[in-house]
Amino acid sequence: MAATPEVVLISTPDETTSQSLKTTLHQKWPVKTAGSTERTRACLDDSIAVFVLDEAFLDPLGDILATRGGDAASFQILWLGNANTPFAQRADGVLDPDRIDSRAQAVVERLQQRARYDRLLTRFYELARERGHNAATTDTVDSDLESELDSLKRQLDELAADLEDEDVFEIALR
Amino acid sequence: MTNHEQDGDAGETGSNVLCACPAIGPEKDEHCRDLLSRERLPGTIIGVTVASSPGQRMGVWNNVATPRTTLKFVDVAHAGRSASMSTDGFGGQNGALVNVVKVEDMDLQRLGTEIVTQLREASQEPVVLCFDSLTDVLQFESEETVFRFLNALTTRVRETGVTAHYHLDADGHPVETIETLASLFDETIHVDQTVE
Repeated sequence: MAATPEVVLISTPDETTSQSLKTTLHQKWPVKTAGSTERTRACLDDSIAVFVLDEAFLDPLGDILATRGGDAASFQILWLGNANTPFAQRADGVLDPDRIDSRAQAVVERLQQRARYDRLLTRFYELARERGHNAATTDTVDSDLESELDSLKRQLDELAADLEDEDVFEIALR
Repeated sequence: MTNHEQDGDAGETGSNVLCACPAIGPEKDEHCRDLLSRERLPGTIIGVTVASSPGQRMGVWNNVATPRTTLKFVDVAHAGRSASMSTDGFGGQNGALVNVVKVEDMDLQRLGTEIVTQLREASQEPVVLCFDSLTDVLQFESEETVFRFLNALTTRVRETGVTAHYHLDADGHPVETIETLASLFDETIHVDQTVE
């Protein structure tokens, strides 16, 4: 299994904000920055775990919020701006631009856990489907598959223990 | 014929058992009673009802629930079931206290958080949970959605030390679906009615 992606994509037109966030986050996670909407869309691939979206980009990139939940949008969205907007309510987390130094790491840490839980759960289902298919078509038990399923179940239990109930069900039912 | 498959960790903390029996016939209710009182009589029974009603489940638990048993239900009300079915049989069984939380429609987010709230609030041990049934949920939601929901729920069941079982109509789903869901559980009881 490939390593779990943990890249944080910072999408903001404000260079100062971008650098401040990058400085705060890059020691813990790989960080990409995008100062334009074109670069943002180009960077949104499977490696992105957390997508920091500046409210200044709402108009050109609002469709990403609207379509989240699709296969191409399995990352977590961190809204960078005013918490009291309808768009902020649809994001997975909110960060006040004036509190980057004190809050950014904690907020991104929580979203990284949510993203990891989501990806492991997706993998767990894929393997469980494989197990189900094998059981329906053969009499043999794939011990490697069973071991991987057990390992994933333990990892999911450990991750879920650090998440709130609402988070766990929200991610599971995305 | 009944098959039991069990993982090594079952019973050490909380445990989750998939009970795949034909919906028609005595095996489902017999296994339900056995699973509720495996080690000793339960202090709290949490029932989750979808197509069945709390009253119907209490009727099955006749010899398991005592006057000292706390009965709690999370009951899904939806268009597929009449309102009268959702409220039959209340008023306590053998003097047992009954607490019912209603969940409108098949809202899995709400259903999951309500069940977990009941798990955390239950203080009279041992606490057991009966989910009746996954077949009903699978009529509303895809296999993948139900799988993901169950992963979240079974995780919380293990954390809280509860013994839970989940009914599934063994004749209502392909083997592939049953075995896919079985990956989530510590133990699977599979009663195959076609074998004599």
